[in-house]
Amino acid sequence: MPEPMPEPLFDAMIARAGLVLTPAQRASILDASRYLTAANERLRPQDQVALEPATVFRP
Amino acid sequence: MNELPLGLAAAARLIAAKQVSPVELAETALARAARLNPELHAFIRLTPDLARQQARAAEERQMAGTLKGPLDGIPIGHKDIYETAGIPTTGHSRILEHHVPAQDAAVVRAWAEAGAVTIGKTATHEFAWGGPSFDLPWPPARNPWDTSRFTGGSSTGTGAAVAAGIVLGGTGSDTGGSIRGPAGLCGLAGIKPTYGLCSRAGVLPLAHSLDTTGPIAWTVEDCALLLQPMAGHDPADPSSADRPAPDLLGGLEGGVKGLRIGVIRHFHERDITASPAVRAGVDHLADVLRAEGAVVSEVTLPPLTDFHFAGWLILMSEAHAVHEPWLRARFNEYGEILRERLALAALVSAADYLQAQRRRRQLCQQVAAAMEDVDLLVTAAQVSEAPPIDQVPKFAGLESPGLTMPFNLTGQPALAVCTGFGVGGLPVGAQIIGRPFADALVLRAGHAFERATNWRAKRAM
Repeated sequence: MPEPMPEPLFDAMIARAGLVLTPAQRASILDASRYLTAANERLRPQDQVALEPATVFRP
Repeated sequence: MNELPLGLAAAARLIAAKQVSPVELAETALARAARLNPELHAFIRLTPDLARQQARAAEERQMAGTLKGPLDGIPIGHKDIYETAGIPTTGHSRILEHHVPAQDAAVVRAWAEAGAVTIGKTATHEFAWGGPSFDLPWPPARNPWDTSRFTGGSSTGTGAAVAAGIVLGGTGSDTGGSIRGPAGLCGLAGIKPTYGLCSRAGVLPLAHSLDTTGPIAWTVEDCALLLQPMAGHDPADPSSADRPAPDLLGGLEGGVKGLRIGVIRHFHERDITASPAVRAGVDHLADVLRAEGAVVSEVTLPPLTDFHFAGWLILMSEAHAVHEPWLRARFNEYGEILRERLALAALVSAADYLQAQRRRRQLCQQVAAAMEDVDLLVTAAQVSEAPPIDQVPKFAGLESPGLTMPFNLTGQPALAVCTGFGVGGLPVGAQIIGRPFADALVLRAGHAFERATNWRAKRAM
């Protein structure tokens, strides 16, 4: 399982979401952020930046 | 009458034959709820006045020979994310503890118009995601097969209430497996219909591109009876498919002779390792369908992990979008589990979400291609028998791939059926999956399985 999200990024995103966490909440959620890292490592296409990301809009 | 008939269809036949009164059924259901709910916590609110009023009206129709159909006079429960006019609808959350809707959800209205008798509002994971939680205004529902065990979520109370024989069916919702989970762990039938088949108008949302409404009941036939009035276009729900409602009952007895069924064995044997009883249950389902005339083969889909990660990134992003205002303003009013799951969801970026949707489109195409040579798919419904309710992890669902999420991603109909019993006498289940809008075929196959086996004869309590 990958490492959790870098702590500065974690803190910035939590602040952007308008959340204030207790130390226990921060530790628990930061640890769980490893699942997001794993998901993104699995799903991101490598070297295929032009792949259609499923947001075609048909007026 | 100390207990309800075994199944909705059986009760409907007795009502039609005037061998049992809807009032008698309602009083039995209410008495059973009064006796069992203190232990099971299946209901967070009973509605005896409404139940008696609806039951008396059904009895009048019974006596007059003007019954509306098989749901007339049937005691049911509604998951407490379905809005009910004049009756609190809380989402099992402190946030909406005093929320009293002005209108019924479309499905609540459809079942009421078909004559169903509402016994109460059933427990759920908080807003259909956070649970089992012990720090909410109401305790979590417990599994009638063993009350120290989890029901599966999030339609916890409906699963418990049907398995305990308090009601003969109820509403669930399924965003990542919330109908099929309780159906599987409580030994029931439950169908996540095709995305867009049933209206979600008036149902508290979790994730808009995954949410589906559907029924949980004792048998597949019962599910078909409950699903029929739910199905059809509703302009009030933007996701509702603009197509005629299918006939879910006419072909139910058609059997599976000649149908081609693909077993996704790698999902439950290699991508994850399901318990021996769960694996044996899938083999049993395939064997029975083969004996009934189906042609059974093995099918390979993309790895379960890909469905898992794409599904959870989408679910979390969309749930965060729903809850963001409350999360900012009322963070500590959520229970610990949902609070932390939603905070985690705030870490998913827009780019993450779009890449998950990109992969989702690929997965849909890959599943459709794999189904070119089969009519139905089969795999396990849950990884194991029900775990102890106090040992479900805070981030359960994220930790290892589940078997239900793939068909929320693809939008296909997926039915959970009970395939037997495992460790501790706890039930296990499997899924039958069809192409989009082949809900009737899925039900037909599930009914053929139940008709050929005897698993529906055993009550939980």
